[in-house]
Amino acid sequence: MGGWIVSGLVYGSIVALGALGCSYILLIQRYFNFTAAPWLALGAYFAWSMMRVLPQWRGLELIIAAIVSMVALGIVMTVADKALFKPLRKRGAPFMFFYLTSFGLLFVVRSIIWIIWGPQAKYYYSGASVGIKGPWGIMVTPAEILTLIVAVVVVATLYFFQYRTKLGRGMLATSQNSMLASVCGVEPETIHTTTTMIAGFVTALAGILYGLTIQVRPLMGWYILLGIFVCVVCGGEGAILGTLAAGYLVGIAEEVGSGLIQIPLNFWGISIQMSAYKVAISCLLFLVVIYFRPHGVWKGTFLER
Amino acid sequence: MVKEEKMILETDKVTAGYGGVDVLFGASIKIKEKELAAIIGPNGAGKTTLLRTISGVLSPRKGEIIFKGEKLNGKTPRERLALGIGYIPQDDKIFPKMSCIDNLRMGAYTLPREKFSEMLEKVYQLFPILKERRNQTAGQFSGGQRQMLAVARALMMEPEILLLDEPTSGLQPSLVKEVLDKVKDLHQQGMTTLIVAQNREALEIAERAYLIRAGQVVLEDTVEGLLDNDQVIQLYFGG
Repeated sequence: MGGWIVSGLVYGSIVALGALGCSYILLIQRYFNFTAAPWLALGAYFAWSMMRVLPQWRGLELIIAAIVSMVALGIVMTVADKALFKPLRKRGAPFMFFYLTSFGLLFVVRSIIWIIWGPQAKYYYSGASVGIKGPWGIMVTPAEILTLIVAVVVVATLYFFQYRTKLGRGMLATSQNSMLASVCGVEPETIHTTTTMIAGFVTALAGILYGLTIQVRPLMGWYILLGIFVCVVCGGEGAILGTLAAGYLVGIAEEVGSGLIQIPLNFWGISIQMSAYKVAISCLLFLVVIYFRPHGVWKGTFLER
Repeated sequence: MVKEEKMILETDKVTAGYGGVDVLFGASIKIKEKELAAIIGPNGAGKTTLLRTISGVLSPRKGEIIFKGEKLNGKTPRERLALGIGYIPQDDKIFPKMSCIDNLRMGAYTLPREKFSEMLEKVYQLFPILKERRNQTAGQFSGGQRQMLAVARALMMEPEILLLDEPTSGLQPSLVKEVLDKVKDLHQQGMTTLIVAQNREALEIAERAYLIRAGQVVLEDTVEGLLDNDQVIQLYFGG
């Protein structure tokens, strides 16, 4: 059980980071960023390519590759925003157009990834990762420990940025009332650019951590997109701390749920590996949350605490 | 009579609207320095559209807006704010999920950090209730307190003109007087104010008023003159 919980927390941390990126876009630009799935993969591939050219030295190459990848994805997403979504904003287009554009972009980015990097799975480091034995005999790999720490640090940093900086307050204000924010002197395009850059940073980071703990593959974003979607809904549309908690909830529900269901399946000799159907638990969680708490598990929306 | 005095704000034949639909059709008004002017008119006449066009939320399709001799066309709301135009919308005038102090911080968004405390003290002197409730979420405020917070938020930038869109809309009668008294106080302290008045009480605090109908300014008169016009009063304020 302890192992499942740790795996759930690790997976939940990755999902939460991806969900934060989606939440920012959802709250400021008012559409669900379906492209999050291939963006996440693109961020992971950027880092993988960087790692191929950097000399290995005590993991520093990973840190450099991660930073470059985060910035690169932020820039690519911002360019896409300015080229595709800004004209829609300027025309006051209905939000269905934003969703359709996001959906179309998803296939374009996915195809680009397949063309450049191919369908094979890739790894940041060759060889199996050596686990560290923790309390109650739980085995944790260094990558998993890193994932847990990075998620908490990123969430704390975003929290500080949101509530202690002028730009963060401008984003909060824009999410609540963009017209009033603009008459207060907030430049909407600055907010859109900042939002997209932050979304790019955290999405790339989610991709890198997924690649580090599992593997880098073209469809990696697809596997966790539903988890991200559930996390955004459970987190209360962008509550920063709520999103991390929701990520943990999704991760633990998937790991513990699939593990518990596997026990009777094994007992009755049914040859189904529940680990392949973890996403069904996210679906179930999503339906339960939407039915009972449509505004999120935690009270509050719109970048609230 | 109007032309002889110094004008702070002029709209010259402004046409504006939303999407493909025009709401204002060549609206022209002139606001004198330190005066309290009102705009009246039926719903959908273009009063809010005119204020939005002046504040920069909406771009005019035709015509000019001149503030202190400077043409505002093409300037962003932020640039207009820096020039001294403070705007308080009719609805959604506060950030309901932010605390009172954070709303005031938003009012001072472009203000240098070192001036913030000074301005905060000034608005607290004008609206002591806001100091008492500075950490309370603005969404929990009453209608009157929300309006005061909205005015205080706009005052954080020390505007030269305050554009108030129906400030007493939806308020109970006792609060209407309280809010209008504050607007009057501000005007007596030298604040140029343009108020969209939807009731007689709001019109009475003004010195001069414009009547807008179907997107055009159809009448300009002193408030006394308008109040003597039974037809106008009957039509727009119900007697």
